[in-house]
Amino acid sequence: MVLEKLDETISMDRKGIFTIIALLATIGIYTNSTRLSLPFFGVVLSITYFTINSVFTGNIFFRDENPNFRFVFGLLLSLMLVAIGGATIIVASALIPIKFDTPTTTALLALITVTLSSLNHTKIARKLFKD
Amino acid sequence: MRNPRKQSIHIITIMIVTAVFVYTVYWALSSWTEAIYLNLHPLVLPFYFVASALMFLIILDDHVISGIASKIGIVLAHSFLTRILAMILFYPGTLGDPFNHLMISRTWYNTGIHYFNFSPYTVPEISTVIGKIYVYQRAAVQHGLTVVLSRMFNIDVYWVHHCLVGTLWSLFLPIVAFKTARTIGVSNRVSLLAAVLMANAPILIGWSFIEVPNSLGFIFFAVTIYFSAKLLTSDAKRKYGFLAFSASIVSLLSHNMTGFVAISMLLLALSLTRYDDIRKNGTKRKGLFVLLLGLATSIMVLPATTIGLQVVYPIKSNLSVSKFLNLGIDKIILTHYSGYSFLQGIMYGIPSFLAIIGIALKQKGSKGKMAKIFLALAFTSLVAQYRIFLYFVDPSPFGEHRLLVLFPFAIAPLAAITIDRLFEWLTLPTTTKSSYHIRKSARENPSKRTNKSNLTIRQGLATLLIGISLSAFFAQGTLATWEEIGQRVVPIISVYSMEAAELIHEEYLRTGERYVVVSDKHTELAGGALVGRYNPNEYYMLSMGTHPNRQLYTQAIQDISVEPMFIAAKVNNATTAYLVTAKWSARVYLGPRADYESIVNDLSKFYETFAVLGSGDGQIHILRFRIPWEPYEGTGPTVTVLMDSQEIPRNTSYTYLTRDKVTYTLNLTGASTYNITNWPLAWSYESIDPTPTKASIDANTWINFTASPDTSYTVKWIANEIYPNVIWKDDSFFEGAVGEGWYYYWARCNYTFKTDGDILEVTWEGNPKDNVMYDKQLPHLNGSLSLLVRIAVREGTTCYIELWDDRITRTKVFFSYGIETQGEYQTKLYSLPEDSTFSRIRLYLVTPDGSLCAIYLDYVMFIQI
Repeated sequence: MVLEKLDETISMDRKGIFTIIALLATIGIYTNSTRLSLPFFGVVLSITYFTINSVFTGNIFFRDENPNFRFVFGLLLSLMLVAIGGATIIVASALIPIKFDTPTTTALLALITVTLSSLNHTKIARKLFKD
Repeated sequence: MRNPRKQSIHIITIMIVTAVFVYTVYWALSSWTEAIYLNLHPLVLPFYFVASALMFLIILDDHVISGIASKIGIVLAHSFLTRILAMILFYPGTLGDPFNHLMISRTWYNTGIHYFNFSPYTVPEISTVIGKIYVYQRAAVQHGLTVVLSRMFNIDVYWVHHCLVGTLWSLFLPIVAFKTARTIGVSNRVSLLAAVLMANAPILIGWSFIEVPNSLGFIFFAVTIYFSAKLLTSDAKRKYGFLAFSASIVSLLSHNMTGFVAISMLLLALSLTRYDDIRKNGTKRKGLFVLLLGLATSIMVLPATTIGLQVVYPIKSNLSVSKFLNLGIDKIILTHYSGYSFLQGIMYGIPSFLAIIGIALKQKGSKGKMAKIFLALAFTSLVAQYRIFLYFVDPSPFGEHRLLVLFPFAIAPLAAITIDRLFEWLTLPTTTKSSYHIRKSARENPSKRTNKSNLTIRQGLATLLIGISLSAFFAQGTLATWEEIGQRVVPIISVYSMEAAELIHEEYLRTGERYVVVSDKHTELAGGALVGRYNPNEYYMLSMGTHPNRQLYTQAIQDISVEPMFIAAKVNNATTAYLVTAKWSARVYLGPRADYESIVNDLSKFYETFAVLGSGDGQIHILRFRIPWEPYEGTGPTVTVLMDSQEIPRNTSYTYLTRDKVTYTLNLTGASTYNITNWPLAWSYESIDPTPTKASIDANTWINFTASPDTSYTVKWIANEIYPNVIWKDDSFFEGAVGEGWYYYWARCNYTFKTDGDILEVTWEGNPKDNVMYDKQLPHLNGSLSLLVRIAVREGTTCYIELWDDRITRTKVFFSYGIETQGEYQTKLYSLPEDSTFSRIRLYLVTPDGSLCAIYLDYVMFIQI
């Protein structure tokens, strides 16, 4: 029940509060990576980041699933996005002078959050995937 | 409201399961040692077996725990347990590819740049844009994910890399399998069985914790299968089509093999949807044609891309009938199973066998029919792809057996159907009358079952039988995988190698001195994993492909030489070179006769001992050598020179980089004849430059030559000043009678034995195994001695040196074993037995195949240590 409530609250994302939290987590991750180097802080921020984005992803793609599966598949898709993003930077660095460093990683994480949040709010994905 | 009795049973069961799981982990932790070999505590497997049995009992029986969420939780916990056990037992990791990829991830993490950009060698693969993209995309998902997660969590790359595959596999594969099974419309029990089977099938359990891109590719291949199955059963076709495509791309960017097979599965699913659409419109034949076309396309995707790979990368695979013709009939029919043991065959083959039965078994209703057809066709396609690779793709860019690993991802739900049906069959009451109808009615309406008490006993027995059989199957599969990895040569990376790399790195952080490391395989991987591949400041020489680390390392410990350090240091202009030796490597690289203690003892004369770590076979010696880029120079000892019969003592000069190879030089001018004598015994005459018109040399005692008074002559000697105490030597190798020079002892071949007063050249040929022996008397040498020999042995030549004690009876007291130098002059040092007397030295020369053999001997010296 708690999970369902949490899932519902995050997916509603009233006034974009969870999008902002995810973006703040991204900034925190950047700061921690470049200045603080505290694993505990990193774990907490990453869990926050993945929880919010997993709920967004689950809400975009797996609305017909029950909340548990929705969250797990949301997490899987979030990881896939991070993986594809990382791989894209790697492949892009073969063609353009771009480095796979902390700023690029942070930009990638922020881009994923913004994209997922927009898809979650605008319902574009649902329209796109409507058969 | 839940029944309180049921609830307490539920809680007690969970507690028991937790206790068993925790104890299994505890015994695995008790197993772990610092050894480089697998050590398994005798209680690990029984506990794992009990843990698995409990899980199966809970899956099969609803009396203990009925909620599906709890059951899935236990399946997930078991899945994690399996991976955790392997990761503990093989900590800090297995030898080979996992650490190679960790090195690459480390370079990405540290520099943000592909390691090829730091390569000191030319890399032809990235000379074209396409080639560069191909190289960069390989394992990009693994490196990308590891680096991003490492930065996010702020946890070292090693830990993220080490836990990534195991965690993703344990968490997602059971759920993906569960959901895939649900798409074919089966019960929760079947889905849970499928979840266990897919996560833990014996053929893929090894891949589930080894941190390689292939393993990640397998995970996303399974995800592709699920989304493709959903594509066939759900109305949201576009969405699942998109998701399946995305998963296949992730799989492709993890590992190309799994990626292309994943794409082929998606193509198959799309052709099935098309078939379904056409069939519904009534044109069945056209639909069937589309389906067959889709199946053929899916089968040919991987072979076609493999052969097309040569366009972008220098791997050349072809379709070849000759490969098929060269296969034995057993390999053609049984494929890889022909090479498996009976137990392996059973373990790896059972899921496929059960799946074939599962395909044939009828299912209630049409829900999920298309998904079931898809899984059956996917299985067919995988079998066909595997056989095409095995029979016709030559050479295959990857081991064909890897395609077998893909089977469980498609067939787990089908195999689970069979297991479930067997369980149902065992639990239903037997009757002589119309058993089919009774079973059917019992299945459809359990309340109508008769003889309730008998049924409970039957059910209990069936649950036990199936549960214990399955747990035995999975426990055996897990054990077989551990043993298979454990049986490899030095399978587990040494913790001392990890520690050695840390120590060297800390020294670098303290001094900032650029260094290079020549080392055993474990330290090479551990070091690269710590500092990254091709790190120009902290460079670990590598062994894979044509990289020379193993060759340099073997040379250093075999010849007790610093020369490999100079070669290595040139790669990154290092000022310090480390030679990290591991005890196991002496046996593995040099053979069982190698004595590690004496090797390290001899090496310590040339190197500074930086640290000694650990004990046993994994013991490590870190030896340091400062690279002298500028040679040391100075004035050497005086030699006696008769210049036109007038005795003039002349100073020599010396120059050296390392004390094992000091060059002494004497410059002469102004006379027409020279006679040089009285140089130290440790010196070995090398050359006169320019070559005099007439020369007569006995490199043991004198050098006479006629010269032009206007020309300046340079006479050179070399000496190994690490061992200056020479008590006997031969540098001229003249033949003579017994007691005077080298004499013929035995020959069964055509041979020549000639010397120029400095270098002895012996050639021989004849029939295979023919040999020649030449001996020389020694002045009964004894004490703490070593034998120093400078020799060049032609390739394909067998040469031994023997020492004999002839005082009372003829006794062989030393044997060098085969001396190999690949045609180059090398200095060999042999420690001699202390309690022996050496009366005679023998050259024992053999032609292995009868062809022309040769050796060139510069000197033999007995030195006192």
